[in-house]
Amino acid sequence: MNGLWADTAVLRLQQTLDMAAEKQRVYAHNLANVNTPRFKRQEVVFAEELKRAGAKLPLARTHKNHLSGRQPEEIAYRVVKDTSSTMRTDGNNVDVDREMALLAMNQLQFNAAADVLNRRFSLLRYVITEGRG
Amino acid sequence: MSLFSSMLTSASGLTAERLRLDLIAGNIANARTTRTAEGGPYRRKSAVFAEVLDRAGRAGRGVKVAAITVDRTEGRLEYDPQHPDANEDGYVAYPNVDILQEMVDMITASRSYEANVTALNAAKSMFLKALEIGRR
Amino acid sequence: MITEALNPYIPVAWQQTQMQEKVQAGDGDFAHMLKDALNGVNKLQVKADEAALQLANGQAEDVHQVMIAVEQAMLAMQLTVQIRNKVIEAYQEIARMQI
Repeated sequence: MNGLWADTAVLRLQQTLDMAAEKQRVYAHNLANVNTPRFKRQEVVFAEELKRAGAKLPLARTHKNHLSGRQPEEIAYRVVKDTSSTMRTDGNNVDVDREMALLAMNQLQFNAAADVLNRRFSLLRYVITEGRG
Repeated sequence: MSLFSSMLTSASGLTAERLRLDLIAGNIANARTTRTAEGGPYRRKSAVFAEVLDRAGRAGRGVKVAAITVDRTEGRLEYDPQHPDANEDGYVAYPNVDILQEMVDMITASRSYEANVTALNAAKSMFLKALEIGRR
Repeated sequence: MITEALNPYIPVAWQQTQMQEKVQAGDGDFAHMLKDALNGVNKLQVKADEAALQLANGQAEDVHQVMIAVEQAMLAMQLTVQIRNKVIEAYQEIARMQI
């Protein structure tokens, strides 16, 4: 460990928070458009999963890489369009119940990551100030 | 972009669904209105939703009501020569509002409204949680 | 922007190991080293301030990034101050011994 900020735990937690915030934006957008004709929902996927599935460049926008200092291709996640078919006649493929469940899970994950990050910082603070801070 | 943009997105959903509910309420209230200012019976109104994207055209920013359309299909004709709005054949033209369909739409719209409220609350909860990072 | 503040590969803010090595090796202008470290910490502090200002203006990235930047800047400052204290203690020890 060569310095405080190379702490992988903090970096990973920060990445989790970034991704969860992005998911929140995407789910909000999906739910706002639950009654929009021909709307296709979006979702956030890990870049590695995309690569494994053999996808080329992402269909929607890329997200700014917050872990700067690494290679540009190491973007962690992407927003993609879910083009699966739907049972609805208006072409909209948002399942409102599933979307709400994803929303709830995501919120919990964000809160959990924030908690763990906080504990991590508490620990660092304790170590740095030798228990007096 | 911050969690604020998520809240604005949800707010756009709330606005759109509420407008839809207003139109539905108007349809139901006017289901038997045979006389309007522009002549003829009341015509059912509905909202057309459209996705809103950011200026780059890729990030989602919610929904908007692109248009309010008037349904021009013919409604029912009832034979009632005594009615003040009867035509020369004695038929009265009634609005093209199907109450049952409007009720179903109303339930869908209010459920969608609640879903947007839930999304807004989720964003707010995450924001408040993030503020606790670094708190002693 | 604040991404630089969060970059773990900025060497200027984290000279803890280098500082220790230099003290042990007995070379290097210690005051100069400390000044460098404080400059680095100051940069982190400035970045954290900028991030907080952006948040106030509504232009910010997510608030959690601001909070993390602020916390890291604070920890960096505390660590540097602690190191400074320790080193000063050590020198005072040595000064006392010579008398």
